[in-house]
Amino acid sequence: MTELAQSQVHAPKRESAWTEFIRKDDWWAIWIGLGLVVVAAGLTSSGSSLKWLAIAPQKWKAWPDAVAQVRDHAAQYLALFALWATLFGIAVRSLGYQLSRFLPTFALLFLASIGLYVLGQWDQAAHYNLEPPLVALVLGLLIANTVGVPRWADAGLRVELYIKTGIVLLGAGLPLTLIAWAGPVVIVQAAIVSLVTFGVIYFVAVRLGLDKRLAATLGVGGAVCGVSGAIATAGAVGARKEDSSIAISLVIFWAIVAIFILPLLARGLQLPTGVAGAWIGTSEFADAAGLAAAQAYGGYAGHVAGITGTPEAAVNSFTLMKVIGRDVWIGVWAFVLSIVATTRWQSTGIQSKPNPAEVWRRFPKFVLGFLIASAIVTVISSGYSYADYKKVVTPSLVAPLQALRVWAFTFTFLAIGLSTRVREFFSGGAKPFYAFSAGVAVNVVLGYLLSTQVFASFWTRFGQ
Amino acid sequence: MKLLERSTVPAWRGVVATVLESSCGSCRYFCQEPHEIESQMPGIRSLGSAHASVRGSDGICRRHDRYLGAESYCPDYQQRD
Repeated sequence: MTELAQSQVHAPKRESAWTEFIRKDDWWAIWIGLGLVVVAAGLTSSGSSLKWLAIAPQKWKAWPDAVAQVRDHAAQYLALFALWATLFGIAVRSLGYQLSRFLPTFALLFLASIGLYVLGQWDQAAHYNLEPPLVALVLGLLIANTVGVPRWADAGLRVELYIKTGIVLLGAGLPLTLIAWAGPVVIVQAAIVSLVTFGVIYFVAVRLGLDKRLAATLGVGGAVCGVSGAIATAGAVGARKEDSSIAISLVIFWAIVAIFILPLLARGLQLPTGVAGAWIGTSEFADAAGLAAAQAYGGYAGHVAGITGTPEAAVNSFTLMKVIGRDVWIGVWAFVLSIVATTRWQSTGIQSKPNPAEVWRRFPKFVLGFLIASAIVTVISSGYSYADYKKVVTPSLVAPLQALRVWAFTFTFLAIGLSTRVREFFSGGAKPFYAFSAGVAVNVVLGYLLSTQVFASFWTRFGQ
Repeated sequence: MKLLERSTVPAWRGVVATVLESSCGSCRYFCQEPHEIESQMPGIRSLGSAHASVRGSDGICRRHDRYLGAESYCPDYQQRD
């Protein structure tokens, strides 16, 4: 299309730029996550703490002890429920859901989360493979695919809102200096795996005769950012609606398979937690699914013979690889592919003009919250000696935020299972499945080699 | 319903282009409503969200059954009421 023609195409009607701040779950994750970090930091500075509210079950050996723990701290659990219900309630209301649908669903989600969190503190949980993320997922899948979950309950099953809030809170436990130190390795490793995985999926899909727009949507879904990558790319290249659904289904199927397979493989190989987290971050397809796998693997540290490193290392290395290494590039992928689609691929009869502003528009904004949370705690910590940091900052600031993060992740893991309908898989035929699966195979092997061989020493040190 | 204004770009560029009055974002066939998108592409809810920043202003074109950006345009445009 000529410049003349393009100049006469009016811009679409958009909502005010300010509505973005209350209409996107990325921003709500920032408001909630950073709000909690700021309040916790303020309380710490004034000699107080958020720890009464950020209740977390303690280790237990016998069932009556666990029951007694919950009963003795019932007021704190109730207050914590009120806090989460208020914060997430305001968010989902702004996103257009009814509170009357959110509150009952979230209340049940919170009750189930207490059970799962307590279960994870059983001293025999790792021995019986009762890792809370995996149990939450299985439980949710069983309920959703047998008894069924009514559609109105979607208001309380906001996977992305919960996981993004958890990731912002996670930033408070990762010093900015550590993120900067890991940055180059993370970006190189992620770039290698993203480009190769995309190339494999796209090449196989086109060879199988699939439409290039579907091939690209599958490719970015597998290589970069899972469901988010698939929808961003589908929109950028103008894929058929059906193709978007196919890509989303395949991402979900393989992401859920990987939640169980990757920790199992890493456990069999006795990988250190930092290394396993990096592998999961390189080879998983979605943030929420990957965090379930990484947190489950972190739970083996200190409980399963041969697995070294800290539990936190698995989650931290996963987050750096997946979020910083892969997710933040989604806008760039979408923009580049929109240029290719408009200039190289067969026209669909619908015109579009690639716009570099899309890179920012599609940027996963919650990453900013993650980095700001890290910066806030880093600045606060810089005023303390190491001994005082351990004595003051860790128990009064970092530990409560860490507990709140675990709650947010537990809501996420339950919500994934409860919102996944297995019958929605495999609607797209065999060819997309073969193409995506080829990428999965390459992705998992390449992710393993990069994490355990090429950058092994880095990730091992990171985990310690 | 608003009529389309069409003109022809001079042939000196070798292209005959149809110039449309506006783009998908204001078209009656275009759906940007996140709840509607999630119900039409239900898998999004499991590990994603139609409320995510990465979606930008994309939506579903009911006319062409495509998922595309709000700045796209085509000859079938019809102004939303």
